[in-house]
Amino acid sequence: MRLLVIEDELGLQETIAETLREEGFAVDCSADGEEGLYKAIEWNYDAILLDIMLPRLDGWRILEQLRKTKETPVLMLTARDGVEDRVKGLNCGADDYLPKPFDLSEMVARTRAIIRRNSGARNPLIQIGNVSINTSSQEVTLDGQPVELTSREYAIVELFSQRVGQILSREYIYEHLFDENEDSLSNMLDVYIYKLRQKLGKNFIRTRRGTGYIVETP
Amino acid sequence: MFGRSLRSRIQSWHTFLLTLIVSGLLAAFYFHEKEILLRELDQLLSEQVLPAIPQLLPLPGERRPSDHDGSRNRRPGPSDRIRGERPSHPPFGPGDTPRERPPFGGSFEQRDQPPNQRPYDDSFGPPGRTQPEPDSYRRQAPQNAESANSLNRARLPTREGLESRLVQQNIYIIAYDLEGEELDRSRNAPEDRAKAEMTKQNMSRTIGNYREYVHVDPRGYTLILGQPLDKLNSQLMNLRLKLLAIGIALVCFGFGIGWLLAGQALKPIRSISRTAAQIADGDLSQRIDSTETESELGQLVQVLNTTFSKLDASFEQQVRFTADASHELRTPISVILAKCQFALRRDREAEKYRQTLGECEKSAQHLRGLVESLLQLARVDSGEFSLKKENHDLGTIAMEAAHALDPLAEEKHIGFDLDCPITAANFDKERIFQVMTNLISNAIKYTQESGRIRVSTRKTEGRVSFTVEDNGNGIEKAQIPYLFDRFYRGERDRTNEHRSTGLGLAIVKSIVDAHDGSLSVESAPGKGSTFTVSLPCTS
Repeated sequence: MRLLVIEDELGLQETIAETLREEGFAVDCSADGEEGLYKAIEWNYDAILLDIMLPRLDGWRILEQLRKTKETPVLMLTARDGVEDRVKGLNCGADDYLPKPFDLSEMVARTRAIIRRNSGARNPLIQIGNVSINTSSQEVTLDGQPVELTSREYAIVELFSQRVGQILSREYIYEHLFDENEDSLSNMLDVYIYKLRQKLGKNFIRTRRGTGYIVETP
Repeated sequence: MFGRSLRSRIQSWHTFLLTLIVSGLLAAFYFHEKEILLRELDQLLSEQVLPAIPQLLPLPGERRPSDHDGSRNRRPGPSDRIRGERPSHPPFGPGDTPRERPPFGGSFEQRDQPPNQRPYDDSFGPPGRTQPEPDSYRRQAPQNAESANSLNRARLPTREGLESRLVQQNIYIIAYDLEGEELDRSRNAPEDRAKAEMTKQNMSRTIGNYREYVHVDPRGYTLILGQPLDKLNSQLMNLRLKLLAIGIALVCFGFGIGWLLAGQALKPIRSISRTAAQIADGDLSQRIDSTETESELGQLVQVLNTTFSKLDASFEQQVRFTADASHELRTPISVILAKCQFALRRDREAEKYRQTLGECEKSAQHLRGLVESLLQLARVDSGEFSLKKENHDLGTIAMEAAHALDPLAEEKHIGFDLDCPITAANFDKERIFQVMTNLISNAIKYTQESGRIRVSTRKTEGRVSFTVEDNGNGIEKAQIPYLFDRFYRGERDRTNEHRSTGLGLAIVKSIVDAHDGSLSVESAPGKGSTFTVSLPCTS
């Protein structure tokens, strides 16, 4: 899952990004409105965390522009807590609203919630064959037994779990797995897939030659 | 609403005046009408005089037994024809036998008077009216007296006829001789009629319930014709009732129209109070509809709207300030909170903790600066009363401020040019020191390395001024109007890692305003800025 954080207070931006990375997300950052809008339109993010008071282009205007082309879920972060501001944000097309100062755990939970809602799933517990994935606690079990996954491995499992039955191209997986600063090698993905097959069973992720990978319910 | 309301007060005055005017007009009309009716009556009565004279009064020259005063009866030509009959003639009564009387007026005139001499006073009729009869009789006279006589005799009524005609008209007649003795009276003459004073000339008068016309014969006889006023009174009563009805209708109509007009005139006041009530309820965006700008109320509406606008603007400013202040306070708090929570999420290396603590400290410092600035602003906002104005030298304070900021300037290798002669004025030293510190530190912040800052003080007539001039970045023209707004920061400053509070210049402005001073900025991007503070010098 790849996220974009648009926040001009650098200290806060950095902390939010680090936290989300620790949660297994790939995170891009932007400290100014125009650049943020450009990235939001250019890439297919799974969610965007958007501050309102931004230099050059404020959060409401970014949202307006973004909604013309994309349906990316947006969580608004702002130190303005007036009801009017909140209503305005939601009316502009925001999916949720988080007033500053906020708890990091709440921020993570709300981010996950808007991503889940966007994929059409309400239940954080996803069952695929004998593998079950808890997207809120980030726990994966095989036949009821917990499986230890690295955060990157978990990210791949979560990505597939949101698109069960769909063939995901290598490019799609890369785009949602790595942030703009990661210089990912093309064989890195093969390594992750190999490890996941070891841990979750050979047939959990199938290869479709020439197109990509697929996870299907048996 | 009725009683003390403006509308009802206007209405009561309006109705009072209307009633006064209407009753005045109607009363005038009534008396005029009464006068006309009386005159008509007088006319009617006076018209009966001429036919009555020959029937009731002795013919000229005829002497009555009671007529002793010969000098008053100047008419020549005695005639015994009636004189002999007269004393034996009983007073008028129902049983009276008709008597042969010579035709009135013409006959005796022709015989007893020269044709060119008028037998009666012209004034016997109502004023302005001419009586044609005497003339016509006179004209007939010289031709053939005897034939005219017989003709007239046939046409003119007898005494009986005259009386019955008068009775029919409800007119009574009484004749008096020269001494005031009653000569004759018609049968309907009232017995209870008070004996009126005799007069020497023709007149109309009202005696008791009777209207009378008094005719004084040139010979001294008096003829009184009268009519009871019953008919006239009932006519007048009728008129009074009609006028009363008309008056009430007019006043009611006027009241209704006045009520509507007063409502119309007071409409803007209702609109004003309604809008004011809405504003009092907190809806400051309301304005009074000011379509009638010509009237006095229109002017009031404009003044009120201006006041409301100012109130709205200052309230909005207050709201914006509160929102901005909470935003500014929340940002460093959310940084501190996020940093701490991130550090505590899992076990970190010592270096990570150190870094987090450092960042938290930076945010806390910023928060402290912000809180102090807000407090300063609040203190200045509390008014002039909090100023401790004393006589100080502006030059000394400017130099102190520059020296205090020396370390900051040295970091960027910026030099000061100080031109601060003694400029004494009355001001709050601590506050003005704050103004200078803010302006000089701003200049240092926006001036490149090795720049120069010139600080000078001047004294001109009635004012002292303090100028900070730098050769730094300058300010774009579009930003200048917002420079002194609270929490306004230029774009450059927003992305600056060491964020300012955005309150420095706002504090400067508040302090200068509290001193009734003025503040001006001149700036050209890339060339530098000049901030000048000017204070009134009362000492």
